[in-house]
Amino acid sequence: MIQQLILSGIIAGSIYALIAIGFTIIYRTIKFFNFAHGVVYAAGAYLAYALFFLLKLNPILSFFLSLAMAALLGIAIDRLAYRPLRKHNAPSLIYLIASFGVFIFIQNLIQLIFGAQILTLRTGPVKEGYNILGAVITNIQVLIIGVSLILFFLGWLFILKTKLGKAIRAVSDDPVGARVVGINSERIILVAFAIGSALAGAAGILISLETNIEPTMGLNAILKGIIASIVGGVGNIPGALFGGLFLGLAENLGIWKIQAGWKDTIAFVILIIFLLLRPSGIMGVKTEKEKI
Amino acid sequence: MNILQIQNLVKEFDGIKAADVLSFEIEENSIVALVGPNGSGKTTVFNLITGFLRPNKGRIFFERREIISFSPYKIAQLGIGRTFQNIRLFPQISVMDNVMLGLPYEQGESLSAALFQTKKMKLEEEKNYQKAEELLKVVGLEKKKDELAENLSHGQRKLLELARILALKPKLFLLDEPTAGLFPETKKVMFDLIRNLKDKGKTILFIEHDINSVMDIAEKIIVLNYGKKIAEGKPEEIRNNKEVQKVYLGKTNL
Amino acid sequence: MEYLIHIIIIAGIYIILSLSLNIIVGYTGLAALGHISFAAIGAYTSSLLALNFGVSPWIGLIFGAIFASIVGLIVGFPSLRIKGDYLALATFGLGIIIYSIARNWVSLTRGPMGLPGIPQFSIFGYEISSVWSYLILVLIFVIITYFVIRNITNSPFGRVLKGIREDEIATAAMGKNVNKYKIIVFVVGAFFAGIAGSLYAHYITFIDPSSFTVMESIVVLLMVVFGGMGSLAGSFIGASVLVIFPELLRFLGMPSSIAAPLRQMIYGLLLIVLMIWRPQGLIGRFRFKKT
Ligand SMILES: Nc1ncnc2c1ncn2[C@@H]1O[C@H](COP(=O)(O)OP(=O)(O)OP(=O)(O)O)[C@@H](O)[C@H]1O
Ligand SMILES: [Mg+2]
Repeated sequence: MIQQLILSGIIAGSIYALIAIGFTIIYRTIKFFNFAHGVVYAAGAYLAYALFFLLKLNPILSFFLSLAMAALLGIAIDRLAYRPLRKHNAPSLIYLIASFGVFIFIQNLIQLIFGAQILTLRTGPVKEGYNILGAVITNIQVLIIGVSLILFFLGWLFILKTKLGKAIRAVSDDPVGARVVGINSERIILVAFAIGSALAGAAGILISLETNIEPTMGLNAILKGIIASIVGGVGNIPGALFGGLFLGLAENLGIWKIQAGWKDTIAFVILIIFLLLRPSGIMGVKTEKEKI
Repeated sequence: MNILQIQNLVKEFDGIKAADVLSFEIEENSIVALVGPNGSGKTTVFNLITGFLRPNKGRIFFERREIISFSPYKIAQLGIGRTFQNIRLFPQISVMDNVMLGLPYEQGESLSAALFQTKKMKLEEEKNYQKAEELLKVVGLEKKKDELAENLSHGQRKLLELARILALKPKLFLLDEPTAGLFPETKKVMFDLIRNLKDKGKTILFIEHDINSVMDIAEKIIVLNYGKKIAEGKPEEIRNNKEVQKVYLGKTNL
Repeated sequence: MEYLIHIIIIAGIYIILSLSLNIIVGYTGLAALGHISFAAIGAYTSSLLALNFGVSPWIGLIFGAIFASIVGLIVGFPSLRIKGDYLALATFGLGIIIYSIARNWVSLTRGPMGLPGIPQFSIFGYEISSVWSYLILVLIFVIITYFVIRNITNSPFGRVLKGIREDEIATAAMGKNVNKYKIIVFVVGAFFAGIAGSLYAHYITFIDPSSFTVMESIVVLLMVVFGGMGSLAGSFIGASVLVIFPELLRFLGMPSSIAAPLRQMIYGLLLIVLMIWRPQGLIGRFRFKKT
């Protein structure tokens, strides 16, 4: 039992980490809680569904095409909703409310197109799994954990090693300085949205190999992604991995003795405890208090 | 008699010592200037006195009473009023309301007074409206009373911030660069207002970069550098102090 | 005609919600995103009291409002430490926790099955069951809420609230106990949201958790923002327009599988457009600003 819960925790955790890293990459450049990230995750799952089942493309192609389209969706969101706000120099709460607007709009667009009912990306019956240390794990679950961790590390490498990744860090840490050395922050924001959204789309597709998809799936996802980020320290990439796994395990081990329905409650209690006691998270730098 | 007494104050910000075993006293009904180069810890001292920052070590007495553990609002109620280096007004409400927010209320500010729109509240409100109007006249902003504070010019904002703190009627005024960025005429108005306060029995501690004005108006000057007090004394003593000259060398025409 | 009255009753309930959120968000500037959970507490408290103990809905309504304001008090405390976006997130989280309690504490709330057969209000033994009489009841509460919130905001107390919205630090420097005001504002806002929830429960006579999702909180926020933060008339307009307008879609003969998501899409679009072109809302003056 406990082994199975740990396994569920790791699966959930690696998905949360994948959502959180995409969220973090975007957050680094725009510095607000982009709720619309969750709806990109949902869109990823639905795009894959459409390509695979409706257009009958091959699964690998469907996967990568969906990622590309998720990236485009992220870019479109930024261009249409957030960029005008940047021109107005709006405060972050305005962005936050706008991102709710984007979220609601796209979620319901998905519902309009695909209907409110549950769909699935699974093609056959669930196969029997392997027994590892007392937990039963299926091929699909291995795939989910493996691919999400690989994508996580690719995202991390991208930020650490590539020129664009470095530019994102520069824009994040010192926006004025970045402009001085000739970094075009609009272009960097665009790149961050593309990469971050592709990762969100990937998380949405991976989870739907295991569970059903529905238009409302994005809200829970982004909330968990944000909680994972806050636990790890907002803006911190290793923190996103730690936070994701921590949250996944805490949720699943938390329901060892109580009903599964309380999972969300556990997650949000963790959120509020962190916000009150350690808003900078485990690995984040201490948030700067307003200078008077 | 001392109105304010600071003893061995220490405040660190990740390694930087913004106040470094700092002690001084302020005589009641005097005008004292706090000077020092940028980043020497002047504003930090104000924040410590008014409770917006807590020191790592040290004690602060206001009228012989230790105030180190008090919240900012409590300290303001005790009689220390301050202005801010970066002007903190209430931008999206009227100039009048800005001043009225500084005025202390006896009964009118309670929830029940608001709920039942009590007579007492309305009377107090009327009285305070007139007081605020007078204060706006004092700083010359009576014509702007219905404007939003955000629509004022920089100089008008500085004056409004002063009017607001006058409304609070503190015994001790802490003014953080009250004349920064002002035109000479407005500067003169500001300093006249400060002198007036002293004549009314108030005590003023102010931060100022323009050394000539400081020499002109202050009775005592305290000089900070890297959070340490390097000199304290009458203007002429400070003018002739070697260490102060070293710190200011090439920076101002002391 | 009955249908039209029904819509006005629902609009009235949303007006109470919007007014009570406006004092928190629009006047005091606290980003609270879990307002509907106070309504949930009011609704569940008075329904359960009526169903399990036969308590009169009138008394239940008062208990519901008081219990909601106690929770408001509890929610108010994080607002003393957490600011801005993080407060938005925390209140959002609290909203989800309360929703999830309604859903999972099955032995108390019957979870997703909901509570059917909630009794209606009655006066001198007569049930207030016709929409006309309920309309009058709701309007009375709208008027009470309006006058209470207007009185609060139109006073030195209300001026301090605006001070907190504009600059908390400067407000404290003026000798105002900012924390006390913030807590009171949450308590008052939650109280009236609790009333709105209870009115809803005894009107529809059935509640389940799905009436109190976080999306519902966002819709109330949209009403406040749309009408104008810090404008009471704005809350009337915001709530009325956003309740009545989607009904027009229904009149166009659209099936609900299209009308429902379309309505939400319009809400979403409205939020984006407002933030870009008119963050102060239709008739408001205040908007969040960069500090
Ligand atoms: N809230 C804070 N967090 C971190 N460091 C701070 C904070 N406030 C001040 N400091 C640091 O403490 C030092 C003193 O700052 P302070 O603002 O007190 O100087 P000042 O004398 O008022 O300078 P200026 O003349 O530029 O206003 C500076 O190095 C500053 O960076
Ligand atoms: Mg300073």
